[in-house]
Order: sequence, then C-alpha cells, then structure tokens
Amino acid sequence: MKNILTYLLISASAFVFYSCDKPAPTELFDDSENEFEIELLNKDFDNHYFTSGSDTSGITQDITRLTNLISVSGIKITSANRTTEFSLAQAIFFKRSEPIKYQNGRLLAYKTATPGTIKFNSVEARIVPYRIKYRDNGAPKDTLVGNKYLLYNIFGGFPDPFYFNYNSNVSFEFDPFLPGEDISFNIPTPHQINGFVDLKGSKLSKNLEAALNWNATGPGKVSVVIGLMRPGQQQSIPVYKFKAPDNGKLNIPGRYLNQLPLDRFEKIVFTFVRSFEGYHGNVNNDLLVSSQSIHSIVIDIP
Amino acid sequence: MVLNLKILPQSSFGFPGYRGLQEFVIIPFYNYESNQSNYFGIKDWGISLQYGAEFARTTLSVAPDDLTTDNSELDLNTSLYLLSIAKRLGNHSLSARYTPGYQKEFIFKTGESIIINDTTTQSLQANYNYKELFGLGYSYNFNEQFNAGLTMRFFSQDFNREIVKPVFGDTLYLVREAINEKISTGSIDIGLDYILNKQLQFRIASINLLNFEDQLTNTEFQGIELNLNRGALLTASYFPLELLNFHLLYETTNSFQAGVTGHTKGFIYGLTAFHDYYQEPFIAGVLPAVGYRTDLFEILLSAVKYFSDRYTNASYSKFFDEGINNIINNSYSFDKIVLSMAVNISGKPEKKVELIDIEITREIYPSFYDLYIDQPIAYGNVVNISGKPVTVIPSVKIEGVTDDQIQSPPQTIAPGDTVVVPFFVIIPDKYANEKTFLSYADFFISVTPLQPDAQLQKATLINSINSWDGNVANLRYFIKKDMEFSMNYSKNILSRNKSFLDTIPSPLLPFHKAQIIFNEFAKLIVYVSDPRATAEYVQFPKQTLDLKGGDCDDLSVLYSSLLESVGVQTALVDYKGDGEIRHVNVLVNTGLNPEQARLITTNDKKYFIRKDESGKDQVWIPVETTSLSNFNEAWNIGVEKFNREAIENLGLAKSKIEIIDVY
Repeated sequence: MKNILTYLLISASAFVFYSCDKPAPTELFDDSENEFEIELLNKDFDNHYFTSGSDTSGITQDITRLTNLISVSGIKITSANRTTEFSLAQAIFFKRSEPIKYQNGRLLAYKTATPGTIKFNSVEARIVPYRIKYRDNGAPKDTLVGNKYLLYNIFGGFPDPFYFNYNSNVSFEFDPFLPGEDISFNIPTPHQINGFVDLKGSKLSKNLEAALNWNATGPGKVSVVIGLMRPGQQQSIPVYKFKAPDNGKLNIPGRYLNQLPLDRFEKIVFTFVRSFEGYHGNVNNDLLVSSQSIHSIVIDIP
Repeated sequence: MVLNLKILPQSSFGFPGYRGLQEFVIIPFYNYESNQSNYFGIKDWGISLQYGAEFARTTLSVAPDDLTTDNSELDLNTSLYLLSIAKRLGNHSLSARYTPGYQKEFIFKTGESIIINDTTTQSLQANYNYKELFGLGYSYNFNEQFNAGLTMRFFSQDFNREIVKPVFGDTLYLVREAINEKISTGSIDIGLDYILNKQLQFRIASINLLNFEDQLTNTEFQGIELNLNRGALLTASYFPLELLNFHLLYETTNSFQAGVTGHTKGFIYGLTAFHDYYQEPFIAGVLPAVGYRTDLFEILLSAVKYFSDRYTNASYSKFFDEGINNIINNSYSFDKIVLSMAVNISGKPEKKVELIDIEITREIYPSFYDLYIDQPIAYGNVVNISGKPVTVIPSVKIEGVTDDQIQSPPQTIAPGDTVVVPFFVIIPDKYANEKTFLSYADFFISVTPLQPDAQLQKATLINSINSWDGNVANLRYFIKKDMEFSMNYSKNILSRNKSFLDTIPSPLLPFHKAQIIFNEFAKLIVYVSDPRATAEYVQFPKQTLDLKGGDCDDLSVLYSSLLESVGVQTALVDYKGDGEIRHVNVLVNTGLNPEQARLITTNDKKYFIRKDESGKDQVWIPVETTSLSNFNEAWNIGVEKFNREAIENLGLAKSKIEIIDVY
C-alpha cells in the first residue's frame, strides 16, 4: 500500500509540474465609453507657454513648431451662472527663416508675416500685434513676434461684425500683396458644444471627482482642457488635455485633480472643444486650418 | 454516504456534470460542486485529479462588430484543474483539494492613454485574475439515511492595473504606474443529504453561507470582486433503474441542472443540461460524460459544451456591469474536455461479511490447554453480505490469556447465508495465573488474513490455573502438566531402589514401581480436603509435593502423574456418588496378563481384568491414594471400595462409577 501511495504521489507531483499551464485569459475590449487620452499641457505653472503638443483651441499656445494657422472659433464661457458667447477668427503665418530663441539657444518661436489681405465671411481681418509671454532663466518676458490677422465679436457685432456659424461654413479669402492668385475656400464648422460639469468632493479632502457631459454628436473626438485660475486673475493656466470620443460623457479619475496643488488656485476651468481641422500645403503640411466650438466652464474649486 | 459541502462562487457546476448522491459517487470525492454533501464511499484513502483541455476561440479582430463573424481561430489550452485527497475515518470523512486550473483571467486596455513626447500615445493595461486556491471538506454519516457536512473553499482575487498618476513637486509630471491589490476570500457551506430509499434521495445545501474576505482598499478595483450572493440549492434524484436515473438540481439564484445518468457492468454515463441565470441562452450548455469505475478506481471523460459562442475577446462594459459569479462556469468560460481519475487506495478491503452475535458456551479453564481445540468456547452468527461466496476465517484473542489471535478452521458461506461459526482457542503452556478474573474476548471474522471484516467483543470468565470443572476426565490435564517434574521425581525414587528392582523379573516391574513410588511419597504427604469441600481446585503434582498435602483429586493426580512418567499406565476411577461428595482414586495397570496375576496375589478379588491401550487383557489394581500408610493398605482399601461400589452395587453398570484412562 505504501508503495502504491508513493508512486501515486510522485506521479501526481510530476503531473502538476508539467501541467502548470493555465486556462486561456479573456481579452476585454474597452467599450466603457470612458476612453480617453491624457496630455500634460503645462508642467510649470509659472510658465504659461509650455505645452507638449500643437493646440489650436486658442486656450494654449505652442508656437515653436506650429505650422501656419487659419482658425475660426465659436466660444462660450460660463462663469458664475452667466454665459458669454463670442466669435473669433485668426490667421498666423510664420517666417521659418527668422527664428526667435531663448538665451540658451533653444527655439522659442518664429517671426510672423502678414503677406496680404484676409477676410472671414467677407469681413476683412484686422492686422494686430502678436505678442507672446514666456519665462527665460526664471525671468518673465514679453516679446513681439510680429503681426497676425484677427477678428472677434463679443457683443453683437462689436468690435468686428464676424459671426461664427455652427454646423455650417466660414468663408476664407486671401488677397496677396504681391502678385499672385487669390485664395478662397470654405471652412466647415462643427456643431456647437454645450458642456456640463458635475464637480464633487473638496480639495481639502482630496476627493474631487468630475463627471463631464456634453451634447454628443457621434463620430469624432472632443477635447477637454482643464485649467486653473489663481485668485484675482482672469487667465487660466492650462494643465491637462483629455481627448475622448464624442459620446457625451467623460469621468475624470479623481487622481488627476487631487494631485494638483489646488490650494494655490481659486477656480478650475473645464473647456470643451469640438473641432474640425485639416492640414494643407504642398510641403510638410505647412498650413493648419481649423474650426472649433469651445465651451469653457469656470467653477470655484470646492 | 456522507456529508456536505458547497462552495463559494462555484455554485453547483462541476466538470463531470451532476451525478446524484449514491450509485455514482463511490469515489469522486474531488467534485465538491456536484457532490455538495461530500459523500464518497472510499474505505480509507483516495487520490484524484482532473486534467483537461480548453478550446478558446480567439477572434482575429477585436472590434465588437466582428464577434458574430467566424473571423476566429481555435486555441487549445491544457490544464491540471484539480488534485485532491480524501480520507475516511469511520463515519467521518475528510477531503482536501488543490485547484490550480480553477481560475479565470481577464486582460484588457483600460481605455486610458497617455500622450508623451508630444505625439507618442501609450495605452494602459490591466489584468484581473480570479482563482480558487484550495478547498477542505468534512462530512459525517449519521446513519443510512442522513449525511451532513461542510466545505470550506479559499479564493484569491488578483487585480493589476496601470494608471497615469500626476505627481507635483516643483513641476507637474504624469507618471505611468502599476497598482495592484490581492484579496483573499473564503466561503463555508453546509449541506444535508436525506436518503429516503434506494430510489429517492434529496439534498439541501447552502451557497456562500459564511463568507470572509479581505477588504478591498483601492477604489480603482471596486465593483469587480467576485459576487458572493447567498443562496441555497435543492436536489432530488430518482433511481428507477440502474440503466437510467434522473436528477434535478435547483439553485435559489434561479439556475438549475437536469441530468440523466446510468451505469451497467461498470460503465457509467450521464448527460446534464444546465440553465445559468447569468448566461445565455436559457439552456446555457450540456455536460456529457462517459467512464468506467470499479470499487478501486474511476475514470471519467466529460465535456462542457456551451450553446453560445465563446471568444477570447469580450466586452469590458458587460464584464464590469455583470461581474462573474463562478470561476469555472461563467459567460467567458470556454468549451472543455476533462478527464477525471480517482483511485481508492484504501488498505481496507470492502466489507463482505457481518458478525451478528456471539454466544459464549463455556468458561475458560486454562489448565485444559488443548480441550478448546476440539470444543469451541463460543459460536458466532456470520452473514455473507458480499453477493459472492466467501470463505471466512474465525479467530479469537482473549485479553490476558492469548498473545495472538487464535484462528479456527475456515468456513465457506454462500451469498446471503447466515452460518454459525465455532471459535476455538489454545491456552499457552506458559499461562500460570492462579487467580480467576473477568476478561474480554475479541472475536474476529476475516475474509483476508490481515484485515478482519467484522469483530465483536464479549466478557469472558477466566478461571485460575488450578480451577477444575469437576469432570474427572479433565484431571488428566493436571496429570500431564508437570510430567517432566514427575518423571524426575519418580526416577529419583526408582534409582534409589535400583538394587531391589534389579532382582525383580521384568513382568513384575510395573507393579513394584507402583509400590515403591507410592510408599515413598506416602511418607511425605498427608490427606487434606479442599477448603469448604470445593471440588473445583486441583493441585498440580509439584504443588502437592511442595505443600505435602492434598485431597483425593490432588493425590490421584500426583500418583497417576508419577506412574505415567515412568511408563506405568493408570486410569482414574470417578466415584460419582449419590448426592455425596465425589471421590477419585487410581487404577494401576500392572502390565501382567490374567495368567500372571498370581505373581502379585492369590486373591482374585484384589484385581480385575481390563484391556490396556493396545486392547490386551491385563491385570489392574485399584489404589486408594488417600490412604497414605503404605501401598498394600492403599491397595486393600482401594479394592474394597471398588468391589463394593463398582461391582457389588453395580456402580459401573449404572454409570455411577466411571473409569477414565489418563491417556
């Protein structure tokens, strides 16, 4: 009996050893409707211009590697239960031959040019100075990089009679100063985006959670930029950009909010952006044409 | 039959299918799922394993819309699902099982991505692994109708997930970090079997009755733990025929199993269909099984076939919303083929006979050392319950008397028959206890020499070594006991009379030896009756000489022993009397033939003719051993008593007097 038992135990042990395979796993595909990409826009809250990508929303600016830009936006800002709407159109053209650099030689931007007359929806854009702010060796600096084309409409046609039409087109016309052909085309515009933010928890308890909702339109993606505003300031510092399917909802995991130094800030800004954009040009896609609907919601941090 | 145990999230689903309570569960102690009361019929030890292959269908595209197409390939995974061991101790049964293949792993992209270095996107991944680690079972068989038991099962849930975590120091960074949490979970369940009769059997068992688990601390993993909903299950089995049995199992979770099983000539088969509340379609699948079993082993090949398509790719939302209730049977389980093997390595063979009762027929007199070789001390009623003819070996061991079991002759018993079996015993020569005491005798009935099938214990009176049952015939045991001592003693006497004996013609030597020996010991001995005239105490020859006294029994034993030791044949004369105290004296065979009688006496009333052990007529003389003056007087008294009571009073004819040869 003892021999049989020993034999069985040895056999069973060998079996276990050689049978250590495990059942096949199941691979789940994410259809949770909370899919998102996160991008860190600003790691240094004292430098307003750091970004890791080419943002065209007007919320952040990265001009170090920016292509020439034609951008039209319908913008809505909700703060303290008041909503203000305005339209914005701008065009910026860079002269690659004239870089602007930091003291250490690193590229900051390029000088800009205004090579002709530009109209949006038949309204001629004004040429205005284009300044950027940055921090060089710790010291804040403000420099003029040239001019850009600009139209904006805040109060019913003031100061410019430019109106951004949602889910429609904005016409673009370019008449060069130098001899050459005029260029004109229509810029398609997206549906207006209307966001809603449910911000729960408190910064003291470090249990903030944000549930975001917006009017979904189906295919495509929506970007949500989260920014912070210091007390007494009106300009936000962009921190994160979330890019998610345009399905109408996104839950921001609490860890993204609670790890921020919120005690330095008074307000948090959620900016919903639905955009169309496309690159044009014969070489290096050197012209980015974009249109976007933007809804910024400013909330006191609880 | 035995006990009960049920398990945690495993509900009642087992790879061999549901097989009911009896009949098919001689060995399969490994299958807690379909054997909730942990019933198994092994005698001693059992080992089993389950090894199988899983047919995982991998979709070549992960898009949900593609799942309905046949855009897939088959992947075969083999696993050791289970290894178990069981032990039976009387009505108690214990089992333990290790379940390396009872696990389910999910891997997926979390839906969270991080963009780094401006344009590079990295997707984050997670995996959740649910395992049943091991289980323990205990059961108790109350009687032929009730078994109860419990099972404990232990699980681990291992959650791993990559997250992006912001870290703020002087600047803000996004760090890709892996978090994990492992929680241990256990469940205890109880069950009860009720076996109404051989046709109808019922079982009730709990589902997740007592659960214990580590607290999940990381909120990232909340909502994905195993579901431990409490419930109960009820089963009923109907066995109208060996070839076809019916089983129905219902869980209060609104799941059920319905099965048919059968067996013939050792071959077993079954088909179970199951409805799982958590799976589609209504009949989620079937479990066919075929196998072969004996009392020593069982081998079973079974399969799990689901009626819905199973792919290695599945929806995260569905998983998150529904979770899983069962590790080995859930919406993500794959079709399987499983080989179950169990071995009954019991050292105890199957019981074939029962010892119903024992009747002790006589007290034990240790001096009668070989009496019980012919005359059984007890009889037992033995019934053959095996269905085949069996040969049984009775044996007995008496505490304080025998060192080993003393076997009696084997007997063959026909199937179903009850036979009266005698138990014989041999008292060891070395036995010398001078006190009477109450002991216990263990009676054994064995089919195989090493292992008794049945045994009973009875109280038995063991008399002292000097006890005697009053039967004069049994005095011969006292005569023979000290034969070596008697021979030395007699030879010593005779050698001292060598010169005289050398002058004696050889035919007269026995007579003169008897005369010389009597006269020698008679000088030393006085007659002393037993205390309170008991006839049940007899001294051995050496004791009588040491004590220098004895009654008629003791003196007859002594004189007979001394003569027999030197070749003089003797017999005992039992004067039974009429209500008087019995008396014993000795007849001595002079070895003379009737014509030679005148050589010792001319009085033909002082002897009589009796055949010796070879059948020859020879001259015998009665000697009254209580008359200790001298031989001639003892002879005369013996003759007078013998003639008066045996002949004149017709004692021999009326059997009031009996002559018993010592040999």
